[in-house]
Amino acid sequence: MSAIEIKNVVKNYPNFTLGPISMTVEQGEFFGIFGPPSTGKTSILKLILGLLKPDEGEVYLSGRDAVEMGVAERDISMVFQNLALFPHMNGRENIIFPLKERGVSEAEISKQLDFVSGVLHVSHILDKNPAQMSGGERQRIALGRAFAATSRAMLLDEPIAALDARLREEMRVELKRLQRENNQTFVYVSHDEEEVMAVSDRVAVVADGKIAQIGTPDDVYSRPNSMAVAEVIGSPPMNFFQGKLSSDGLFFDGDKLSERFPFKDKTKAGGTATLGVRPEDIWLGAADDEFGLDLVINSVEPLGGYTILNAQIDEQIVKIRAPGQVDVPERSKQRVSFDQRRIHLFDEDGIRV
Amino acid sequence: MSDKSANTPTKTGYWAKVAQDGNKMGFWFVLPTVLLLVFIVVFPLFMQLYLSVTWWTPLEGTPWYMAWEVFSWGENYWYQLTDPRMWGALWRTVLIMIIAVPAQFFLGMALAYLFIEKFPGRKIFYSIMLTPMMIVPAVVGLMFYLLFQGTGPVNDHLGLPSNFSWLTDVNRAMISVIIADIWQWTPLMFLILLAGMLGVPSDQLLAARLLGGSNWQNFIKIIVPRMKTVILIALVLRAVECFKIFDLVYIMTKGGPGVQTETISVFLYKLTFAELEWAYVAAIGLTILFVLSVIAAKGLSYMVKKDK
Repeated sequence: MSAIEIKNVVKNYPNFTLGPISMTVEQGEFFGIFGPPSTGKTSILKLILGLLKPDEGEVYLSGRDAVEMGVAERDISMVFQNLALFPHMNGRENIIFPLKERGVSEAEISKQLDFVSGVLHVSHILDKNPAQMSGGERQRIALGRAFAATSRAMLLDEPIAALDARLREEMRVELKRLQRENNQTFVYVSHDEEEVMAVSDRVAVVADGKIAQIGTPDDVYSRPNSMAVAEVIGSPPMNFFQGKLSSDGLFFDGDKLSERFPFKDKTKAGGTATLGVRPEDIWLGAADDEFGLDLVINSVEPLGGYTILNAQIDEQIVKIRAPGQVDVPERSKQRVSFDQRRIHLFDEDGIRV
Repeated sequence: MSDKSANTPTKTGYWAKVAQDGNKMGFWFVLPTVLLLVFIVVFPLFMQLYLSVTWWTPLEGTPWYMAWEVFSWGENYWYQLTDPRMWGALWRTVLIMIIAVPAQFFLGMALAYLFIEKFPGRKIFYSIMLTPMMIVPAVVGLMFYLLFQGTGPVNDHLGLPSNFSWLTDVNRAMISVIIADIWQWTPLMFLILLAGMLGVPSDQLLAARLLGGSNWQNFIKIIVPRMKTVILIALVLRAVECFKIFDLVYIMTKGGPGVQTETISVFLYKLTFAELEWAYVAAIGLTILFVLSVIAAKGLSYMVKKDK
């Protein structure tokens, strides 16, 4: 049975409509919700929490219609972006807060506290006040508090966005470990695609108040079903080339591309289309049978493990991500080729062909 | 002015030096205020201190500075300690304080809680809630004086006979005064407590709600602890104000029946203007000032320590 199920939910705002949205979060799944800021991610969380009532559609929790369920009754815990720790309580009191509130017995509380502090390695900071803790420690206490509640599911709203980069990476690993070891259901919301992709089993990509695609991180990255998804997933972003399909449906003619790109689907023949190539799927150098083009390298960003090349065809900027360090002089003319297997073509409505 | 360095050597004397020395200039700027303060605060204080150790009253026709002729040492101070009327007035003041202030606090807290969430008409209700506080206390006194008349609306509504008196009854007079004070000053509590309550971060409340706490538990465990300072300020403010209660009492009951509602302020007023015992009033006034200062200093240092 799925832990959370959202069915055709619509929520109307004065100048924004969320939905219709349908998604299912399975028991024990690490489900990511990704989308640029202010596209409706938080609204989805609020719908799950019961802080918002859907105008249409239903929310089911473990198969039960949740419309009539109160916020506490839904049994869903949440980790807030700013953590919302209680500053007048120390770490221990924060963690056992949900247990105390539910009137759990003292013995059970101390057992649960031991378990949580063991899992999260927070035993040494239980007596500190949140103000005395470091960012990471606070984070752990906040997780611990949500964890101690042993709920149906845990929602994490950009829980590690406020941490510094190194700590973020640590917490990412930590979160996944926690989720796996305890078979918890996590719903993880972030506008940082790297974060979401790193931890999630499946990702829902939210764009303009709708869920554009739900799939494994690999799915949404390698087979984006629309331009909307292709645009927001990937960094640096995918390169797009405007053009149209030839009337016989065998080639894609880019407006700015010097060569034709062979193509086999005839259903959209003659229509305008967009070709998408990820920066890492553009290779420096010509390949005999591969599609290639000439461009001018504007600048080179050596980033250690990989190098970003900013190139130009006419006015259009093309980003290329080459593995390792590449020695390419700036302002030089280069011939590059596209990885044929990893080409994305979208029709005039932005739907993947 | 524009060419300061050229002018300085030519101008000498005290004022030229003042113009260059910030501290000296400051002294001259502050001086008028200091003189004013001396005149309205320090001088009366010493005058009071002087009178309080004499038997002087304005009835005898000797000017106040001649009061040393009836010098009495600390007799007034001793007398006040054994004056049952003084102790009675003090007790009644404290009684009003320990009933009215907590009542205002709990009512204000409850009202503030109702006003955290937005609801239609919130602003209008908010303004209405605050009106009692803005009415001149004397007018409030008059209002309640009229309300509590034997033939007044209160008896009328409660179906009580017109000889059921409030303001002239030994026990009910005090109750009437306390009710009036609660009515007038609950809004101030409400205002301060609401401000404090709105200062509690909403996501902490939301977190508490999600973690399964009932509203009452969240109120006790999250809202109240986070409002501690505000609550303390509100209580202290009201307690101090309450100690000075005068208008309501004087207009509603004149301290009567007998001395049944006589508070410290009313007591002092009567001593001053009805009995003209100015030296004795001075002694009591100074004693109260001293005692309250000590309490306030203690209280403040406690608060500072808590905050550190």
